[in-house]
Amino acid sequence: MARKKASAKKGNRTADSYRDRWRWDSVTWGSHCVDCYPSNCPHRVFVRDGKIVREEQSGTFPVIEKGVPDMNPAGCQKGAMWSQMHDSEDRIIYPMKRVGERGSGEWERVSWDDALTDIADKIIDAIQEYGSESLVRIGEPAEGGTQVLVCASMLINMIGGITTDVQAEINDFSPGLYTTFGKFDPAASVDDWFHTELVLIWHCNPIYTNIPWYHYVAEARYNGGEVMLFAPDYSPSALHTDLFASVRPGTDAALALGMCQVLVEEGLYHDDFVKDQTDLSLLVRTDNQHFLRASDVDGGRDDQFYWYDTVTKSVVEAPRGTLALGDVDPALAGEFEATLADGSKVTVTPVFALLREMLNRDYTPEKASEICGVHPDVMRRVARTAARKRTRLLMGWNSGKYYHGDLMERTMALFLGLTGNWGRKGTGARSWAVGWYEGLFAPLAKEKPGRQAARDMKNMMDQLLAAAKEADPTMTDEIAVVEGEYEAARMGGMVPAVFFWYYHCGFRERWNKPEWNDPSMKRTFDEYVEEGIERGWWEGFRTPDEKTPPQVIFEIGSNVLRRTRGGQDILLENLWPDLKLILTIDWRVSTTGLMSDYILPAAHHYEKLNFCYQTPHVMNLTFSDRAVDPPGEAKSEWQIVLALAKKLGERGKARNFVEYQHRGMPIRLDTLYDALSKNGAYDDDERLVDEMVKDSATFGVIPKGTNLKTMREKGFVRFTDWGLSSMTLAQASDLKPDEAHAPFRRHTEKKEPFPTLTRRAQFYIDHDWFLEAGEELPVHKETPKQGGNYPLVLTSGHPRHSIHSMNMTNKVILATHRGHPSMFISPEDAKARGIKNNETVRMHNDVSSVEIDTKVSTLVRPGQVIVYNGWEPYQFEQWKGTENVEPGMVKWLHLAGGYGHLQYRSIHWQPVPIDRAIHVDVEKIKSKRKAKAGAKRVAAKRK
Amino acid sequence: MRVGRVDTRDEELLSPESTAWQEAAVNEVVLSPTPLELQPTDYIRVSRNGRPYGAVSSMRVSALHNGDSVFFHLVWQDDSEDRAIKDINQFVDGAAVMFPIVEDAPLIGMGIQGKPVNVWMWRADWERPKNVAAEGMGTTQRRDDPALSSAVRHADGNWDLIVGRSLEERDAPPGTIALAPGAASKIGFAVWQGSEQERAGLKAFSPAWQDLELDA
Amino acid sequence: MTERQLAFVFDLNKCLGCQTCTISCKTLWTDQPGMEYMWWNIVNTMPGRGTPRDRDQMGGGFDAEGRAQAGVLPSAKDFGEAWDFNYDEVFYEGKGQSAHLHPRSPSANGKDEAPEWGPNWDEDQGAGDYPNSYYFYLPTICMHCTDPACLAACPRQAISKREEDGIVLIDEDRCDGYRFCMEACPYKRIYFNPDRFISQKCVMCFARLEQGVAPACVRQCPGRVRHFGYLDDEESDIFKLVKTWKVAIPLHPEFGTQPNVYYVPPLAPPRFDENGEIDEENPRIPMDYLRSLFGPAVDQSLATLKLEMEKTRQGEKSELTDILIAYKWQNMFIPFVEDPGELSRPAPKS
Ligand code: SF4
Ligand code: SF4
Ligand code: SF4
Repeated sequence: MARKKASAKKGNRTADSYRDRWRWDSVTWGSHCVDCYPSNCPHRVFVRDGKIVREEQSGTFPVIEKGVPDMNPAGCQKGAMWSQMHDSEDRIIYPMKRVGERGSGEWERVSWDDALTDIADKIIDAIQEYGSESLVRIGEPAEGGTQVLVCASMLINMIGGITTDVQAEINDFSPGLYTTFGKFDPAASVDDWFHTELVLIWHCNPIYTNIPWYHYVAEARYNGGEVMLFAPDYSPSALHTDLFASVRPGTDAALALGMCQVLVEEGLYHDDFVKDQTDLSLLVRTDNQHFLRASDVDGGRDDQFYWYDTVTKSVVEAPRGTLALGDVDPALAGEFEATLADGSKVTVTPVFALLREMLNRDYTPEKASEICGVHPDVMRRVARTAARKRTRLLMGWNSGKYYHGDLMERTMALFLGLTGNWGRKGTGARSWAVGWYEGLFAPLAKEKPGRQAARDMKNMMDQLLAAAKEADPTMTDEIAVVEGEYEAARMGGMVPAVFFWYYHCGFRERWNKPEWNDPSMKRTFDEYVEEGIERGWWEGFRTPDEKTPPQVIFEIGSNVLRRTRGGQDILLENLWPDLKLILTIDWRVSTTGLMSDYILPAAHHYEKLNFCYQTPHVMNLTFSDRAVDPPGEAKSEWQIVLALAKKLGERGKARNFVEYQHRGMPIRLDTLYDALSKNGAYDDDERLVDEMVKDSATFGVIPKGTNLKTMREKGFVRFTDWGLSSMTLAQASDLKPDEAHAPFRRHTEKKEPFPTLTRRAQFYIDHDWFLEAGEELPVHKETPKQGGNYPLVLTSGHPRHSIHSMNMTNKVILATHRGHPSMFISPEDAKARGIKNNETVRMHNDVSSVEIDTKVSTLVRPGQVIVYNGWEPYQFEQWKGTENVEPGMVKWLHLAGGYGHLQYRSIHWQPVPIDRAIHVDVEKIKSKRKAKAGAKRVAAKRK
Repeated sequence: MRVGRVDTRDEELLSPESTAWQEAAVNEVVLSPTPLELQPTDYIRVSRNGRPYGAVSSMRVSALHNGDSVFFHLVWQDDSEDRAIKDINQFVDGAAVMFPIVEDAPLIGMGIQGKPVNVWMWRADWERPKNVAAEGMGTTQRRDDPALSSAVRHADGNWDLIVGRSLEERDAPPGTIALAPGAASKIGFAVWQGSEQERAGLKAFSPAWQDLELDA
Repeated sequence: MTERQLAFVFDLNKCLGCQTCTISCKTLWTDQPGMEYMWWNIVNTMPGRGTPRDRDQMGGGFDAEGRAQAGVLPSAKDFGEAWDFNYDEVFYEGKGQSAHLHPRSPSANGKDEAPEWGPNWDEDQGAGDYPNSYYFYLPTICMHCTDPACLAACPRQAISKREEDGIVLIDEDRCDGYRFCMEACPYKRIYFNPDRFISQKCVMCFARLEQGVAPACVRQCPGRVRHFGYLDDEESDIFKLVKTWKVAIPLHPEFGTQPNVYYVPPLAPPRFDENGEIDEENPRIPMDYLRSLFGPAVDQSLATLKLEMEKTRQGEKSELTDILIAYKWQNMFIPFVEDPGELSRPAPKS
C-alpha cells in the first residue's frame, strides 16, 4: 500500500523549505532570569537576520552523582516561548507618560530626557517634603532578573528610600519551618529527590510549578520510591502517585498530628534523632509552661536550657554549641524536680511528654480523621512508611499562605523529626533558597573596581565572622551570619511590609476584624501592634510610619496591583490617591504599569546580560546573554538606573539640593552617578557583569578564573562553595562536586546547632504570645472565616501557564489554555447553583465581588473553588481580579519578637499575608454583561 | 461544438453581459457524477459511497474566438456561491474545460500515461484559471499561465463564467492544447460544487468528448 | 513496511501536560502564515474531547479487513482557532477599565465573540466523582503510521513514506488542498493551511534528524517522557519498550494504520471506597476506558509495569524501570544525540 519514496532527498522543494527554516546566524546562551524558581534552565537562543527566532534547552548538564539521572533538558513551555514575548503586543519599547487619569489608557510617548527630568524632580520633591523614606520601592521577585535586583536596590538604598520586604510582598515564607528551624529554606538539589523513598507532596503542585525538575519525582518512583499526595483537590500532581489522600482545606495540621500520634504510640519514632536534633528532650516547667532556663536556675543566661539525664538522674544543661548528647541520655518522659535560684522547687517535664499527652488527648487518628477527613488507616499507612523510609516533604509556598500555615508547617516538621527525616540524602522538607552569588553585590559594595578591592572585602568579612565566633564560641558560621543579619536589618533598606500596609494601604481595619481572625487572638490587632512597638521588637522597621505618607512608588520588574492579597482596590483606594509619582520599569504592559504615571521600557531577557537566581536546587550560576540589542528605546535596567542617578544629580544641582540626611548619614545627589558606576568604571553592562563574575571567583564560590568570557562559553558553572549568604549556610551541608545536595547534614552528622533560641529544631515556643494563643506546641486550629460566612473556600496556586503574570498575556501561551481567567469548580457545586462550564459567574463575599468564567472539573473537592493566580487584573471585567475577594489578613502572632529567632531580618520572620481558604460564594449572573464594542485595532501610540 | 469567429475585442468577450454572447449559439451539455468506482483511492470511494456528489446535471456552453483568443462561456446552476473558504472544512466552486492532447486520450481518468490531456481550470477563489497537464488521475501538473483569463458572476442561482485563452502558443506551458482558427479538437467539461465538499474527482462531468471546431 | 522505521515511545507516567513539546514545535515549524491555529503536537487531558474536539468519533483509518473508513473533516473551531486579543483597546485607546483583555473568535467577522473551544480547552477537567476523579495527559503527534491512511487517501500521491526511516511527509508542491488525508487520518493530526491551500502536519523534524539532532518535541520534553529511535535497533529504548517488554503500546490499534508512536499507559493512585478506605481492587481509571484507548494490550502492559515497579520497591533491579528512568537523557534518543547549539547552519542570505 505504502508509496515508498524518498521525497525528502535533496532537490525536493518542500523538504528544502523545511531545512531552510531551521537555520540561524548566531547562537547565544539564554535563560529566564525571573523568579520562576528554581529556574536556572540553560537555553540556546537562535538569532537569524538580526531577530531572535527561537530558543531551545541546551541539555548540557553533566551527570553529577553516579547512579542519579542527569538534570537535562531543564525547561518548560514558558521557557520555550520566551522569544515569542519579544515583539508581543504587550511589549513596551518607548518611554510612556500618562496624559489622562491614572488607568485611563491615555498615553503619550515622551523622550527619555523629559521622563527622567520629571521623575527626578518628583523624587526630590518627596525627599524635601517628607524625607527619603517616603520613597518606596515595592519589594519584588525581580522579574527582570538579578540585574534588576542589583540596580534597583542599589539606587533606592543610596538615596535613602526603603524597599518593602519581598518575601512579605509575595507572601512566600514558611513561618512554621522558620519557627522550627530558625530558617525556612532547606533546599536539596533537585537530583537528591531521586534518593527519596517516600516523596510526600504536600502543599505543592510540582506538575504545574516544577516542570523542569518534576521528572525526579517520577524517576524516584521508578527507582523503588513511593509517591503520595496530600491535598484538598485531586491536583495534577496526584496523577503519578501511589496514594492520594484528600484533606479538608486548612486541616493539614490535624492530619500531621494524627500521623505523629501513630509514630509516638506505636513507638516508631526515632529516639536518638528526637533526643539530639530537637527540643523535645528539653525541660519545661509545669508551673508556668516556660522552658527551664539558666536564668531560673542560677541567674544565668536566658537562652540556656536543660535536659533530665536518665544516666545521672539529674537536671543538666543542654549544650548550646552542639547537638551531641555526650554522655547524657535525656529523658523523653516523666516529671522531675528542678531547684531554682531562690531555692524553691518546680516540677519539670520534657516537651516530648507534653506532646505525647496532647497527641493522645486530641489527635488519635480517629479524632484527627474527623477533622481532616483522611481515613485513619491512611494515616497509619503513611506514618509507618515514613518511619521506615527516607522521606521528603515536597512542599511549596502553599502552607504559609493559610492563616494557620505556621501550625501546619510546625506539625509537618514534627512528622519529619519523629521519623528522623532530615540531614540524610533523600530526606527533609523542600523549600526555597536563593543567595550565594557573592559577586552579585560585591562590585557595587566594595571600595573600588578590581581584584584587590574584592580580596579586601572578603578579608574584612572573614575577620568579622571570626570575631563573632570568638566572642561566642558556640556559634557556627551560619549562626554568626544570621546574628549579623539581625543587626544589619535595623539599618533600613529592606523593611517588613506590614507597617506600610497597616498605616498606608488600608489593611488596618480588616486586620482588626475579630470574625476574620482566630478566636484565640485575645486582644485587638492594634493592641498587639502597640505592644510589639513598645517592647522594641520592630524598632527601625516601622517605616514609612504614620507620619510619613508615601510619595513615590517604584515598581521595577514586578506587578504589585496584580499580586497584592486584598486586591487592587484596597491599594487604589488607600495608597494611590496621595502618591505623587508611580514609576513602573518593565518590558511589558502590566496592570501596575497601566495604573502608573510613567512606564519606562526595559530590555527583555534576551536583550541584556543577566543571571538566574542562585539556588541549591540547581547549584549553578546560570548566565543569560544579550542575543540582540533592545528594540526601540528600551534599555537594560542598569542603564536606566544609571541615567536616573545622573539626572538626580543634575536636578539636585539645578535646584540647589545636593545633600540631605538619612538616619544620621549624609546622602549626596551630585555624586550619585559616580558612586553607583564607580566613577564610570561600570558604565556598560558588560563591565559590570564581568566584575560580578570575577568577584564571585575571588570570593571562592565559583572556580578561579571564571569571568564573563568563560561564562559565554559554557553558559553555566557549578558552585564550588557556599560563600557567606545566610540562605546557603542554612543548607548546613558540605558542598561536594560529585554528590547531590541534601540539607542539614551538618546538624545530623556533625551535630552543629540550629539557629533557633534553643539551638535545636524547636517545636515548643514559650513566647508569652504563643502561650496566650495556646500555640506553644503545634496544634490544629480551624481557619477563620476570612471574607465572611460563605459556603465555599477559595484556594489558589501558581498556574501552569505563566510565571506570575509574565507570560499570561502572550498570544502563544494563551492559546494553550482557555485564554481567559478561569475558576475551577466541582460539578456538584456548579450544578447546585445552576452554573455551566465556561459560564461567567460572580464570586463574592463581604470583601468584594468579581466576575470570572467557570471551569467545571472533577479534580475539585466539593466545597472548594480554585483560581490559579497570575492573571492580570486587566484580563477581568472592570480589571477586578480575584485577589479582590481576599481580605489579605496576616496572623497577629507573627508580630511577636524579642525571642531568639523570632525577630526580623530581611526576608525572614514577619507577618505575611494570607490568601488560602477564603470564604466566598459563587452565583449566576442574571443579565450577562458582555463587552459590546467590536474593538477595532487602532494603531497605537506605542508605534 | 462550434466556436464562432467574431470581431470583438478580448475585453468585451470577457464580460458575461457582453452583447457578443447574446448572439452566440448555446449548447446544452449534459453532466453526470464521475463514477464512484473510478475514484482514485479506496478512501474516496468508501467515504462518498451513499453520499452523492456531482448533482449539477447540465451546463449551457457557448464558445467564441476573435482570431487572437478563444473564450468559453459556461452557465450552470448552483444555489450556493462558494467563492472562498471561511473554514478549513469548506471547499470552493470550480469548473473546467478539458482537451485531449493526442486524439485518443481518454476523457475518463483525465488521460492516461502517454496520452495527455489539457485542462483549463477555474476556481472561484483564484485570480486566474490554471493550466493543468495530466496523464491520468493523480498526475496533474498545475501551472500558472498568464494567457488564461476568466470573468465570472453569480446571479439568480447560476454561475456565469467565461474562460479564455490566447491562441498564441509561444510561452504556453508544456502540455497546452494548440488551438487555431480553423482547427478541430475535442472538449469536455466539469463542475465542482464547494458546498457539497466536491473536489478532485468528486465532480459532475460531461462523460464523453464533444467535438470542437474553430471557425476559420 | 519501509526498510527502517523511526518510532516514539511516550511514557504517560511521566507526562506533566506541560505543553513544552507543543510549544517547541510551534516555534520551530508552525509559526508561519496560515499555521497560527496548528499544533502538530498537542497534549490533551483524558478523558476529554481531544484535539480536534471529539476526534475519536471522527472516523478514518481502516477496518479489520483493511478497508478504508470514512472520516469527518474537522473545522477550525474543532481544532481551536487562533484567537484575536484586543490588546490595543485595553492598553492605548483611553477606555480605562471598561475594556479588558480577552480572546475573540477570529471567524466572528470582527464581532466580539468569545471562543467556546480551543486546542486545550478541557485541560484538567477529567472524569469520575471526587475523590475518585481521574484524568491523565495524552500527547499526540502524527503517528507516522506503517500503513498511513492519509497516504492511501490522497488522490494526488502527494504523501509519501520515506524508505529509510518511515517518515510520512506531505509534498507541499503536489498537495492541492483536497484534504482527503485529513478525513482519512484517524488520529486527526493533519491541518489545513488556508493561506497556502495545502495540508500540513508533523514532519518528524526530518531537517533536524539529518543533522543528527532529535525532534524538537522529543529533545525539549522536560518530563523526559519521549524515547525515540529505530524500531529495529535492538539496543534502542524503543525496541526494548515496544518489542522486548511490550509495555509501550499503540493508541487505538483498531484504527488499523499501525501507528509508530507507542505509549506506556497510565497508572493512577488507588481509589477510595464508600468508607474512605483504600480500595485496592478497583483501579481509579476504569480499565474499560483504558482499553477503549489502547486496546486489550493495556492489561498486560500495566501488569508488567506494576510487577517491575514492585521489584524495585523490594530493592531489586529492573531493566524496564531503568530504561524509563533514563539515567542519561541523551540515551533516550540514540543515535540523534547531536547538540544543535554546536551546529553551524547559517541562514541563506535573503
Ligand atoms: S510530553 Fe513532555 S513536554 Fe509534552 S506535555 Fe508531556 S511532559 Fe510536557
Ligand atoms: S497519523 Fe494520520 S497523518 Fe500521520 S501517518 Fe497516520 S494517518 Fe497519516
Ligand atoms: S516531531 Fe517535530 S514536527 Fe513532529 S510534532 Fe514533534 S516537533 Fe513537531
